[in-house]
Amino acid sequence: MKKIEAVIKPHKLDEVKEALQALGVSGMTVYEVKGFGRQKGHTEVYRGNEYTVDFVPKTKIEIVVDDDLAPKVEQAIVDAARTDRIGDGKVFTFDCEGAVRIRTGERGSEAL
Amino acid sequence: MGVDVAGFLAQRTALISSATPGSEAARALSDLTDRAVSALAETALSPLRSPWAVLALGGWGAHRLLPHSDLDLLVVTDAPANELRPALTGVLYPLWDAGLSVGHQVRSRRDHERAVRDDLETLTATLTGRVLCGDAALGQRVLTEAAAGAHKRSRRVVPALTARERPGSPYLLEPDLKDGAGGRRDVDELTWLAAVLSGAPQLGPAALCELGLLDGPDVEALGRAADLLDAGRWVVHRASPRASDMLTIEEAEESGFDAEALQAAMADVHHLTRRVRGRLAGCPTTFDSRLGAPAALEGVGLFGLLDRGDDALPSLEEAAWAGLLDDLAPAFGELMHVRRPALSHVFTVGAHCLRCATAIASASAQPDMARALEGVSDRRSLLTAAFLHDVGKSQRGPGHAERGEAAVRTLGARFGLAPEQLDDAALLVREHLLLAETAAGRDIHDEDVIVRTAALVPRRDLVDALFVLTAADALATGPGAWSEWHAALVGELADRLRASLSDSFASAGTVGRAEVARAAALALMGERPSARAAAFVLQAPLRYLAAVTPEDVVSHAGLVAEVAGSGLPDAFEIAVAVGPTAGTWRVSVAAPDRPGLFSTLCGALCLSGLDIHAADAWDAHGGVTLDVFVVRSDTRAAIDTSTWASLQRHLGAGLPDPAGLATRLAERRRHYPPRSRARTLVRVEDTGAYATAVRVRAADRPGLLYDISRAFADTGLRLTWARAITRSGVANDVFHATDESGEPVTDAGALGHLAMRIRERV
Repeated sequence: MKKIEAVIKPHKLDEVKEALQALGVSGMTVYEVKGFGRQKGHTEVYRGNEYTVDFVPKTKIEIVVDDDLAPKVEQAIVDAARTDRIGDGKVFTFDCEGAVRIRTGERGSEAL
Repeated sequence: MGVDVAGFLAQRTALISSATPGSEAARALSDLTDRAVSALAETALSPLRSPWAVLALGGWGAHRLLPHSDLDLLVVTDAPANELRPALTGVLYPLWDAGLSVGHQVRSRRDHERAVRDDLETLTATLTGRVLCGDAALGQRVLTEAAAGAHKRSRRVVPALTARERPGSPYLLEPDLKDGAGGRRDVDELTWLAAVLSGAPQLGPAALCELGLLDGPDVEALGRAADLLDAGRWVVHRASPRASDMLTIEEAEESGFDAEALQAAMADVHHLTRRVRGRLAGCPTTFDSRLGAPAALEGVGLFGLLDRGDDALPSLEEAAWAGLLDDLAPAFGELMHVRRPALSHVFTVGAHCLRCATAIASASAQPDMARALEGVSDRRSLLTAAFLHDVGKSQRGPGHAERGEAAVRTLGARFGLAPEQLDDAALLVREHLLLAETAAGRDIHDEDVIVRTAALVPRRDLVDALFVLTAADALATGPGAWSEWHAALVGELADRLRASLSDSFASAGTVGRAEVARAAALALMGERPSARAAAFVLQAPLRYLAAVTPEDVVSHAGLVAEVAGSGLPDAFEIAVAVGPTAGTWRVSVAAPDRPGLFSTLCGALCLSGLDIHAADAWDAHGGVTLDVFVVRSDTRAAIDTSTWASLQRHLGAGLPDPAGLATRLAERRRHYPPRSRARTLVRVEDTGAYATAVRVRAADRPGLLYDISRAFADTGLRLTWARAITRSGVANDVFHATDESGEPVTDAGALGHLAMRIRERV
């Protein structure tokens, strides 16, 4: 199993969700996060006061899928989240050692 | 004789599942339980040699037993413990074995008298108690003594009773029907007060009328409310496997229960409880009728209360409950009970509107809100908009913002708003979801998104007001609806809107002009334009479309389609037309995008003997850039076909060989020295939504624009627009620049480096 984490622009969440549902991904966890990468925080000048916006609001999603589905999920996220502008985000993939569905006790892929 | 506990349980289960929720069902369950417990008690306790009585206390005592209610049992007797223990086993064990929750107390009459004196909870349970079985005189004496004793100690008991916490609000969409404000405990408190102040056990608060603390209609309203609360709690108890008195939104919808009637009933209980507490404490509530008939609020009075922020909420809710806001907004009192659960809302519509309006006065707690509030030019139109922003939800269905706008236009004069204030308030109500929806659902780094949004909010002070309204609306919606994350996201959108509405980047009317130009250009292209040309027109940025004529658009579409279709890296297409002023020409050039392209074009124009007066650079379509220059001859020589042939030649040579073009320009510079000795000034003028404006003032000379634009290219910046004006030999040029990702340049280091490179080159 693979755990896939993606940091995307907030307005792309619905498109990513629909793309993943089309692949048969049945669930995901969504976070509202802030951070910066190449799209650095920026300084705004407003009415003579300068203030720094250190972090940019992003949406983070987490999904765990079977190994063979992981590359398709990665590509689906990339395709759906792309605007071709800086700050489109990143996708990270990790090995996932186990999963348990708490209600039924099912383990591994059965729990996904 | 054995007691049929199994039969009792079967009847109880059938009653709970089949009864119509309400006071009658609660009474029927009480009666059924009375019979079973009495039968058990009479069988088990009859061998006792001392007198005994069994009493039902609390809600059971008041004939209001609900499916998950505890059976609060009091056994009064002087019997010794060794005699009592086996007898009580016969009463309690069958009930416990049946899974019922039984709370029991066993005391002598004297001990219970002490207990009610020392423990408020024991007192309140006894004040609504009644005798189930046994020695009725003994049981009644216990009840009477408890009420009489509390009456004697009323100066201590009443403050203790009225100090009870009343968490939450009767206007919560998921109210606590038992312990929350407006819940069952409030009715109980009024009943306890009636018993304590009258000195006799009471089943309801009616005795408070004789004491002048309530009026007849109040007691009737409390009776109806108590029935509805019992019904609501019955629904919750029946649906839940655990004891809970929270009516969830799902339960309210699935059960078909009239939750709005329940909200109205809880409001009655809440405000009457506040009123009685205020009267007992000698501090009447703001709109207590004992202070004289309260007058309906006018705009000034409302604004005064709203400006007090959250502290004024109890008074505002009381005013709404008493109908004192209905003159300003008809049926606002009813809106306090209207439920529209969606998007994290936790309050009824009216209560949400009040919280939204008072949140503005509390803006200092939110730095982003406080900063935006400083830019608001008219607080009254903002407060009116906040107060009325969701009145359109009185009707179901989409379009509540538009219905709200219509309401503001109808009602605004009642708030004392002048016509221009009314227009602002109406706009704020119509667009109160704009910032939140755009920030969450659209790409706020897309210039067209900003231009379209700015067209809906055409002034910077209105952007500030809309930001404050957005934040207040979210804060009033419920916990989590406005976080630092939301503030940052919506704040960035608001910043881009403010910037796009600044003087340097005027966009008023842009959307309208652009869409007219787009439609006219498509019409001019006929029924079968080439796919590339049509795509260019359909995807052209709004600012471009607003700046050119439909004929220009069609011409540019042809140029761009031709270059894109060639696939050659050094392809270019030129179109020339008469310029906007005498002696000027408009030169449009399409070419594949590359670093330094703009400066190469400037250089080729210079080598062709042309002075650039203005320039626009656009990201056209499919990697092709479109640059439009307004030029005139830099000598007294006329511009003719040989000029354009020269331009074709220089561009053809310069695009594949920029270094060669630079050499030829250096040669030309030697022959044409600067026309003045003006000092070079470089100044960053403004940072807008799409670009950073940089002004350069320098002695004019051939190739000046080429050199300045090379400085931008050398520092990794892109020029998106330029205006070059030369007077008395001094060039006064403004450039709009972005970084490589198309964002405005804000880094002070990069801008300083740019200024240095410009001075070096100029």
